[in-house]
Amino acid sequence: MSAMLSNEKWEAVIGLEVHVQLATKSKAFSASAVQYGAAPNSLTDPTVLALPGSLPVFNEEGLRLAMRLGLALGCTIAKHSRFARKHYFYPDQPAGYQISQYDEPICAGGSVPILEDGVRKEIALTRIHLENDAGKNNHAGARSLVDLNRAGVALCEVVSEPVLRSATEAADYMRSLRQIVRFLGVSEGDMEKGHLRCDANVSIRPRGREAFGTRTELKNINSFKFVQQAIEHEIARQIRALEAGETIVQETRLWDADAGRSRSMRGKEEALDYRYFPDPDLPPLEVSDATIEQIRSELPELPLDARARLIALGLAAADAEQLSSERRLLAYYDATLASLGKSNAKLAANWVSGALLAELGRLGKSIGDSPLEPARLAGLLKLIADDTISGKIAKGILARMMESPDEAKDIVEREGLGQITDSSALEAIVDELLDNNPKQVQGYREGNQKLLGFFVGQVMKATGGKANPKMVNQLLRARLDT
Amino acid sequence: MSELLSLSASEQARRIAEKTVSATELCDAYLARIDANDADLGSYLRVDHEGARAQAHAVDAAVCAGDSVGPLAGVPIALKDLLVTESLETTAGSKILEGWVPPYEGSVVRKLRSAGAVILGKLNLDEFAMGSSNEHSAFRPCKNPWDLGRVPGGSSGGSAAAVSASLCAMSLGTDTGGSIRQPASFCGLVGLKPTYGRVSRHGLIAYASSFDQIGPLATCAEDAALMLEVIAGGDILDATCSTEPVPAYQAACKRDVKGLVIGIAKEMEGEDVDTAVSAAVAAAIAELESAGAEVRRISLPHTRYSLPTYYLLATAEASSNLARFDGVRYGKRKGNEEALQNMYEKTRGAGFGAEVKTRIMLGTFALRAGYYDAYYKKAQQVRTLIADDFRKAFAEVDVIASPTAPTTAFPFGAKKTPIDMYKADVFTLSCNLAGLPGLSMNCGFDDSGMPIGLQLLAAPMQEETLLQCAAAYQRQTDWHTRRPNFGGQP
Amino acid sequence: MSRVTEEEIRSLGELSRLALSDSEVETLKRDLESILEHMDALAEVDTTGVQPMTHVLGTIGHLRSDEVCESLAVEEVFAASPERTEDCFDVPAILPPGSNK
Ligand SMILES: [Mg+2]
Ligand SMILES: [Zn+2]
Repeated sequence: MSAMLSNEKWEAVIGLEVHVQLATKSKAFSASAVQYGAAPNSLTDPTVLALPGSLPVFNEEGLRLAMRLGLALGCTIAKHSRFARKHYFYPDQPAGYQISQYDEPICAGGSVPILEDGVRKEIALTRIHLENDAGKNNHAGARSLVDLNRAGVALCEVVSEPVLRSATEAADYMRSLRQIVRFLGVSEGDMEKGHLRCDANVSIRPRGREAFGTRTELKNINSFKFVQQAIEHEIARQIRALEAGETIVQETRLWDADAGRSRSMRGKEEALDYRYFPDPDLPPLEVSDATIEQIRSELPELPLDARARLIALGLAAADAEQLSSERRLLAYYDATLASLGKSNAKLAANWVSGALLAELGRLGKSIGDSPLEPARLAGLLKLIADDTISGKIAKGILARMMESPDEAKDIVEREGLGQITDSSALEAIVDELLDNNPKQVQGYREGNQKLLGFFVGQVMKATGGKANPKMVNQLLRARLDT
Repeated sequence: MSELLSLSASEQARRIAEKTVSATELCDAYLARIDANDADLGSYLRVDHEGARAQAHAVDAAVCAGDSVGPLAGVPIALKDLLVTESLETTAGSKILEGWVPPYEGSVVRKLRSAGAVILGKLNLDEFAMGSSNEHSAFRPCKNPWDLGRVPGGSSGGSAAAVSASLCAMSLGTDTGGSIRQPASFCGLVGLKPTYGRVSRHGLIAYASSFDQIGPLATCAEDAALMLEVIAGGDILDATCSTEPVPAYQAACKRDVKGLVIGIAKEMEGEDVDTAVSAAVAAAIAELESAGAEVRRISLPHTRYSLPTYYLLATAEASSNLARFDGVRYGKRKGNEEALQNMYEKTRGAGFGAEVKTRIMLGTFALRAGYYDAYYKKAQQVRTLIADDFRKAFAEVDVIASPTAPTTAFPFGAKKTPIDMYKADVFTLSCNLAGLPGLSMNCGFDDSGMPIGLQLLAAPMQEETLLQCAAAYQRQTDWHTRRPNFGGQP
Repeated sequence: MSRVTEEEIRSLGELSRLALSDSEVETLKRDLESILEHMDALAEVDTTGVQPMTHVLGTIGHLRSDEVCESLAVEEVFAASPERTEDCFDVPAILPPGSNK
């Protein structure tokens, strides 16, 4: 298959439509709660059930979140947008129509950044529009059982231009989008809970040709793995078909994860006619410049921007990527650095992504509720930077700081944990050590350089780890090498 | 019949508040009259004896305890069965919803209850408010109390017949294309369709969402004003509902009409109008003129397109609004053991009446891909032109007067085709297209003794002007005091 | 000239999910045809450059704040439902024939 994918002759054209569940407490158009895993049909109200006489009123938080995402992705926010009804009969669609945006979406243009071999690449968006979710159908033989808890949940649909060229790129796009929506707090972005759901439009064309081939729509590819697999599979299927002289039928295909293949849902001849028209229950959404600027001013730095900034501070790409992967982690790191100074960026990176996360993991806590605050961590790191304590001592102190409100400096002072940097004191210890171990001294002088480690270890042991390792090395060398 | 039932609702409210009449006594008098007479009329689909008595008792208890009571305390009213009432069956006049007991209360009903109104029951209507004669009720026809061989008008036919026959003191109807004003005209009442957005639509089972409004039917302008003061105003549950403050409509009824400019549009007269109707309307305008109003000729050039514009847009919205009646969550299901598509088709095929099906089909047609621009969008553009005509006219005049309907109430079966029936609404439609407030009031009778309606339209949110005119007219005339000879003159 | 074919009526019926008898199809064909004839009057109106009116009076809507209200009790949800299995609405299978899941 990979031979086919790297096919010289064919090029894939992929566009994704990703439904992102917005992090609102209540539904898009009514006040029942949004909650995962509740008992069936326990989260409904007259609007969700489309009871006669009920009306939709849009959730202002849904609008704010969609605008926040749009602004972060560089979209143009429509100062005037509106809702339309999209009609189709389905038991999980209580009103017989979905409330969506059609000809006047809230966001247009913009792009989602991805990394390609470490280089940033922008994937252009067509639009982002608001809509409500449908309920859930559970299939039981000849019957379907409908749970409407999810009906009416606020979504935004992020529609890319057909500019993705491989399954890997599509999966990267999806990952980046998930990271961004989580970063912004626009969505919890939990794939398991269906917070991001992806449909892909896939076609192939001979490399170098402008015109698009016939596309198929893949539905139900709701994990990064499935996005990759399903698109790869579909590209290969289309190449096989065209090379065998067949034509591609425009159709919707459903990805069957268990079977690892897609199957046709229905042809377009059973054409759906959605009969879109502006929803008369919902007056247009009017957004002022002031509101747009307010939301823009509250935007955080996005992951890839943060990554670039951290690399410029001297961090390794992997560290920069990890620290910028989550907003609270990045905020923690930045706060630490603010106390510590940028010259110690690498030191801070090592400690935040290393020892600190390890300690938090041990305690079952997340970075957001770390008992060790950035300023106190910076206080600890300062002691390392100015050679007051060794890294080893610092690790022990860090573990204790997780459980006490003490400052590192106080712990070190109180317990005399500072490094011995008094050279005369160290000289005395070294001299005594060499006197007591003549065999090893001889061994070293005869060429067994490894014994230096033995001497260093002994000095550290004698000083309870407080000797400055650099000084110890220097002193030992001075004595042994002469 | 009790003399109490011939009092206006405002007078009933006064007497209850000052304890000269008890709410229970009044409620029982209406219930007794309904029980004795409504079998002949068919205005009620459901009478809530128990609920009404309980509300009346509560009012009496509050009055006795000296508690402050609402403006409608103890006034027995009834509601078009298109309005959602918690725990009281609501059918929209359709088989598909028969037996549905709503688990929630519509906003207007909630307001009525907290104003102390006693709700006697639910009134007959054309199925889903689609009709102009009440002949499209899925349950039974409602008759006109002035002549049982004639229709009461529609779709709020039950709401008009019940008030006219003194089977309730006031009622609420809904008006999408004339459904309050035309039955008010046919039954000799004041019917007021408020500005679009003046009254919440929450709990109003939608026919055409950009047209529908709830409004009162009453025997006089003061009663309509009293009711409108209670039901108007903002509602968080309806995004199209205006939050503009509610004026003192009852106070407006006390003003005279000196200096008010009344416009007469040449497009709202014409050869299709009965001569008796034309004459009565002209006389009524002259009456207002004699009271100090000024009359001016105006033109509303696009109103002649009201009928096609309305029927394309309203049916398009209806085809969408009625999609929810699918037999999944409520309503009667058919074809449960068959494929899903069949279940839908059979449920809806059996549940909807012929007129509803016609309108769903027409609306689906108008919204279909490939037809949208030629029909739906074109009609939306003409709607803009019609609204513009009115905007220009109201820069010059305060109200526009016309017949409410070209004829008085017609006999059952008189309208043979949908188009014939639709033409009965020709003067009322433009008001809904432009979202304006409109009022109909009795301005005389034809040779058969059937009431004639005068329609007054005003600029958006100018309900006060309509009530002011109607009240002034009713101070000078006594048409509105006449009651049909039905069930014993009240 | 007949502009609404029987086929069209049947397809509209399917799109609207309305089972129609042959005589209903006949009546609807006749009625829709005559109604649409009246609709043709709109063609003569010059609407060049005219904004379509989607909301009367340029209605300014309001939004709701993101507050949760109590949900309907499950017994209320199913009080009127034609068929219920446990706490779900029970309908004929929705998957197209031939699908095995
Ligand atoms: Mg889509
Ligand atoms: Zn979508």
